[in-house]
Amino acid sequence: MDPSGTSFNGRQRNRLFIAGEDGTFRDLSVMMGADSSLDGRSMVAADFDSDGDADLFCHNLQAERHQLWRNDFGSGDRSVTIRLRATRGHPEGIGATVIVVTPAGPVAQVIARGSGFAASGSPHLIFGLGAEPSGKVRVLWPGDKTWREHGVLAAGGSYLLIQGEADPQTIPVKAGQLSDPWPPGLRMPIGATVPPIVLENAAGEARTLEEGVARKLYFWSSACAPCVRGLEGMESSARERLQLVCVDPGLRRLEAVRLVQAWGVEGEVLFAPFSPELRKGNLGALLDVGNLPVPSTLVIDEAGTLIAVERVLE
Amino acid sequence: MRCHADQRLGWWALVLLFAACADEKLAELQSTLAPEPTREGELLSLQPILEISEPEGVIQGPYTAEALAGEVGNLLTEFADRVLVRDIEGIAPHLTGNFLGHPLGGAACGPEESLPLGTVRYELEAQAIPGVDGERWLGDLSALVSNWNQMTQAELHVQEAEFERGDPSPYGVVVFRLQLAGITLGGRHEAHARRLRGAFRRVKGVWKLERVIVEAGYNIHRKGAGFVEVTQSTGVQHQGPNFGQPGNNREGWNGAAVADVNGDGRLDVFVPNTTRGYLYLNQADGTFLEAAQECGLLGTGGGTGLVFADFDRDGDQDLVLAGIGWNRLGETGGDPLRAFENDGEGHFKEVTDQAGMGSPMPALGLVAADFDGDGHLDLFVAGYGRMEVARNDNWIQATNGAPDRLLLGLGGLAFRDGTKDAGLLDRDWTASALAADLDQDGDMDLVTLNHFGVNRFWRNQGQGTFVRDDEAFGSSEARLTFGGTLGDFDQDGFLDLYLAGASSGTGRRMFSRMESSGDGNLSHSLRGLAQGNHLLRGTRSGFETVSGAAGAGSAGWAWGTVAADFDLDGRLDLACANGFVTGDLPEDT
Repeated sequence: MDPSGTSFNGRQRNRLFIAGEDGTFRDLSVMMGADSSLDGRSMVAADFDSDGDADLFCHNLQAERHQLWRNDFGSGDRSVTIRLRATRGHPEGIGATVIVVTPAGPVAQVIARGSGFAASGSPHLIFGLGAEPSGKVRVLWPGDKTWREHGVLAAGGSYLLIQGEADPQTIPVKAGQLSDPWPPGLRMPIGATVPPIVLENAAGEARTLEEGVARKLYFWSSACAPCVRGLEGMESSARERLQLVCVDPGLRRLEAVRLVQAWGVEGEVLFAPFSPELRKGNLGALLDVGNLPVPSTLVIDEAGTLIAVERVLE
Repeated sequence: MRCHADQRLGWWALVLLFAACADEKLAELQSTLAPEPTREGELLSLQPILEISEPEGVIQGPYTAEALAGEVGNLLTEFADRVLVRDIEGIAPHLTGNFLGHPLGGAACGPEESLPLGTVRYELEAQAIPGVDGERWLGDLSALVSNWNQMTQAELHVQEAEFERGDPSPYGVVVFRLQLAGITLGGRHEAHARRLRGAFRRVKGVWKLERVIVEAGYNIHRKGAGFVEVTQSTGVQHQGPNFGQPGNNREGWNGAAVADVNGDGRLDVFVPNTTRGYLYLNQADGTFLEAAQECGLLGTGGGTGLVFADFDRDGDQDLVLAGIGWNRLGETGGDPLRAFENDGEGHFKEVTDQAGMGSPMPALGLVAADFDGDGHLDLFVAGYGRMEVARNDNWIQATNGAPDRLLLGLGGLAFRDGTKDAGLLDRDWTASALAADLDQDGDMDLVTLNHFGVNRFWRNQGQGTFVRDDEAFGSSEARLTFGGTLGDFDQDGFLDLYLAGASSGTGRRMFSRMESSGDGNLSHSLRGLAQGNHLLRGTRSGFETVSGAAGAGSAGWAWGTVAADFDLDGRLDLACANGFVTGDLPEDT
């Protein structure tokens, strides 16, 4: 295996299997946004923003990338978060099995330190309750042969269960939210200073955009029906105010040139450099062309500050 | 896109149906790409049902056949890369002049099925219908992906392959899977999956696609994503050297561990890397601050298994991490475990020597629990082995892995080796392990997950002595298991076991050919190594294998896995990390 050459069981994606009401799992990876293809290794789930649901972190082989996904499935007020404090043996209750029972049935989880592959996950357990307002909880503490009841937990709370105490303690938790993602495809946040932008013409010759000029870069593809419809439906004056940047590669560029000429746009048709080498240049510092939704309009002011990314056609 | 009309024979009907299913403007676009049909009966009589000829005299040699499958796989990867950037014209040179294929776009209009989380799926109904020529086929493909404003996936993977004898082989029939996915301007996630049977012909030394039949498939869609990647916006966007470069050349490392290391109530994450560690401290504003250097975790080494726990019982999270070893200037050595004591504020000091961990201990996994019930945390060290020193001595029950270890906590951050007395001496190639009181008798049992051999259930007899229970899993098939997770997936109150392991199409095809060519027993056992993920239902006495892992069996070359109720519906879900090594070139062996 030559890591810089061929693959060995590569080009695979992380999977997400969602449990259904019938007791089986459905592979919904492609719908759920976390199906990275960076050769994932360790994976941990933890509620990093204390909003009552499990976010996902992965350490990948490719470029040793770290990745974090925020759980945006729904509201954390449908869950209970449980921490343990043992009074006999080691205080963290490591290895304890916790069961939360609702009318839908019991669900058991274990407090583990060392799980998955090369990973150690959250010290807290999160139990979803579905539509139920509460669930009864019991614990098999390390060293015990008997399950201990710890009362009823109301949805939306975070609780501390103490060995030997029947009633749970409520832990005040200030829910937060992991920061909103940058606009898709961008490698800089709004407000960052954009480097000089080098594009290319249909012949592959470099074209550097003049600096110190406010501009709107309209990224589009001739293979994208919404892009073509949007540009066709635009007043020509509005189109002229945009700097069109086509993301098409190869022979597709001929179609892009044909369309632009048909719309009566003057000047060279400019393209985002396609080769990986060129994409690593200044444009590559600004955005990942391959992951940029089109159409997208990048609004840049005279000082070179990225002001906004518009996703709605003018 | 909704599809309810009955299917009709004839490619033109597919196109019309596609148009009926699409929005009006997309239908207009489609109609410009497809020729105008003449009369229904005339076209049907002119277009024969598309069929694919089987190869005459099939190549049986597993290595030769698989090499040819690899060649076609390369072609499909190039296809996929073109489709991903919607360079559909770039595919045309890879079709033969007499190409005929079923359109990919319009056929998935079977009954609607509601999946979890508001996902809707339409099953494709396979049909015997005529094919269209290359120009029309590509036009249909172009229309299929044109309505997305972001293309997120284009993948083509070989599943089965047969090739005609010849030097070189002139013709092959390959079953392959296509998956296209994208997001519409309105934020709807859509995907089209197809199982295709293709005929490939070698033309002037180069494989080209000659026929394509759609055998099965489905379309699926859902509004919005469940997970949103916040890697960059939260500040955890470390990017190191590509795999194979200095500083990133070990396939099985890349661990991660979660804990509140500084006691501020928020969960932090530590990520050891080959050259340095990354400690992401969770801030109050939804971001992380990387502070490995300030906190003493910059140069931890290691990077396989790691655990945070309050080993010294002073109220904070200490760290122990493992590694495999090193190989430089022709010399090799093993890594010791390394221990780091937390001062209570998230600053760490290395205490490896005081902890009694100075000797080499090649390991992939670490598990902390109080195995002997004395109130001090112990460490189970999953001994793997060092491939660069000695490869596994057997594929279905290797006996030369690094020894597992049980390090018994003595109080403070001190340990002694208690492996022998615990009865845990073995030489399996153990990739990871799990601990829980699985038989609910008041002590911590162990499950060891192995390569080149069976997985093991170690039943704690109390006070930390273990007996291997070879009946507990009900199966003695060799596995290539990388990771596992415990959870009550069937909601019966017992912990079940989900195992993530190697799944290799190449391996399955080769071992299957070896079986059919008479090398039966060995290849059957080897095929078990490449069977992917497994679900074992927990009972009071052990585990029972669940057929097809209840739908969670098909992943890839799976490593890490985690169980969590991501959608909070009261049922545990599963996530799984996949992929061995992706190279720069299309070839995948």
